[in-house]
Amino acid sequence: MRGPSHELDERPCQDAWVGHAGAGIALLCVADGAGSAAHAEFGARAAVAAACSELERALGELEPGRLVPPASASANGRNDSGANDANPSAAGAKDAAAAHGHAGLDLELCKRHVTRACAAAREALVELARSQNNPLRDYACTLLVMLAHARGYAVAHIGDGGAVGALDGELRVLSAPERGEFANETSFLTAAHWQRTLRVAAASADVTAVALFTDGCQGAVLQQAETLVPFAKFFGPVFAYAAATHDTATVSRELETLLDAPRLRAHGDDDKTLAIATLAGAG
Amino acid sequence: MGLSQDVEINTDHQEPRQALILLLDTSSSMAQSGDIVQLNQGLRELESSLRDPPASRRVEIAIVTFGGQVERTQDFVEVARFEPPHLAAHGATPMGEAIQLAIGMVERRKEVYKSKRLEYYRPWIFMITDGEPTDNWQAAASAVQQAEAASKLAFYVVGTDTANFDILKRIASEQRKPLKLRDNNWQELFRWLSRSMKTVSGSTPGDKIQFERPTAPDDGWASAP
Repeated sequence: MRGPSHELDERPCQDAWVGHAGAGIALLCVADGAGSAAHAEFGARAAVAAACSELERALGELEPGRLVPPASASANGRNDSGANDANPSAAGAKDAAAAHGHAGLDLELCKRHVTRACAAAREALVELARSQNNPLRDYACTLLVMLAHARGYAVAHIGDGGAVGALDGELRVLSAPERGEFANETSFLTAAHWQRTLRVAAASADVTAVALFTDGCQGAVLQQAETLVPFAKFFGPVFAYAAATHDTATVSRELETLLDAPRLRAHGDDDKTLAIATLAGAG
Repeated sequence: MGLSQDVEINTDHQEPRQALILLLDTSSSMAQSGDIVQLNQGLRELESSLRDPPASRRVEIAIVTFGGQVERTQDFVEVARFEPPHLAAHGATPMGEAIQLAIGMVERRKEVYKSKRLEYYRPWIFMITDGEPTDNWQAAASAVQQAEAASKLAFYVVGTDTANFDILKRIASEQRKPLKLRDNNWQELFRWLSRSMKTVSGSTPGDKIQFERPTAPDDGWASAP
């Protein structure tokens, strides 16, 4: 397991992201503040901070091996091996994955956690609006929450932007941008019925990298074929580079140059955020 | 080392589309008043002011005229390839039929967008008249109401001094009441239209699109009839 997030954030913009890595797990949260919302940048920041810390908290409380259960009932009682007292939860998760080869994530558990992270993010916005005495809509933002492991992922998503992953050696869209009928419409975490637009996906697979991105990158990194697919000439080299470069600061710098390049700029003046996590195979 | 050299981005991605139908009264009275000259001038100005990207690649203009008969004078075309026609005025005012045609064109255009998987903004129909319909307009009025109520399109109604606003009020939706051109300010009308098109076609999700009020007391070009 290596590399938390490498990311990119131009300007004091209305995009925000947070990443966290540990115990074989990468957490990424990305939010895009609505251009129309008076305090969108604060909303986006509060949302990703709350979502990520809720996930960290919840995962920290899990029993070792809970996230990645043994592959089958016949697997040899790993659960009570508890190896490393210094860092039980970290060792547990990793050992279980490594020992049981193709054991998958507990997908239901992961989905619950990313969903709760979204709820926590929304609560943070409600609290922020109350303390600042502003209407909740002033903090409108989209939200992407990703929990990734070498054996699978879970993602929760409200609004546009999206998630792409390298799964079983293939690039896949893990969560697609949501759009209303018209191009300037999408859903926000601050909506009264935000749960109705929340989309949660999870799958077990060999995951080597995941990326979250905001609307500003969308056109450049996705391709409309029969379905919406990742633009391979973008994600292929970017994931390969991130996996091969151990210095995350260097990766961040390179990504920054990339997102700021004139050809990507030509894609629009919207804020662009791209957050990447690479995962080392556990097998 | 540099990642930028190895990475390509998808430059083939299509621009979202903003459809604009100009629904123009070209009945004989437009010639008598000289308004047709203003209208032709306005079209040329609209074209030149939308020439820059992204509007030039996103805004698609179509023109339907109603003077004597209803005509699809210009089918949807990107502004970049739009050549303003020279309109002549004659005949009666079949406004009802023209409205129905325009609403149908919007629906069909959306189908084209969907089949090409293009994203699009809410289409506009922008009607300008100096008179009143000489055909049956009630069905057209309810088509406008329904389309607006379902947020399918935005239907604007502009009348000159001589227009029959009693009828125009019944055609226009509650959301977008008719506008009365003030002081013959055609130039400002078309400038406003151009600015509005730039605003919408440059917007991204969550942008609150704030149009300038055409009826602003100081620099607006219209009044509430």
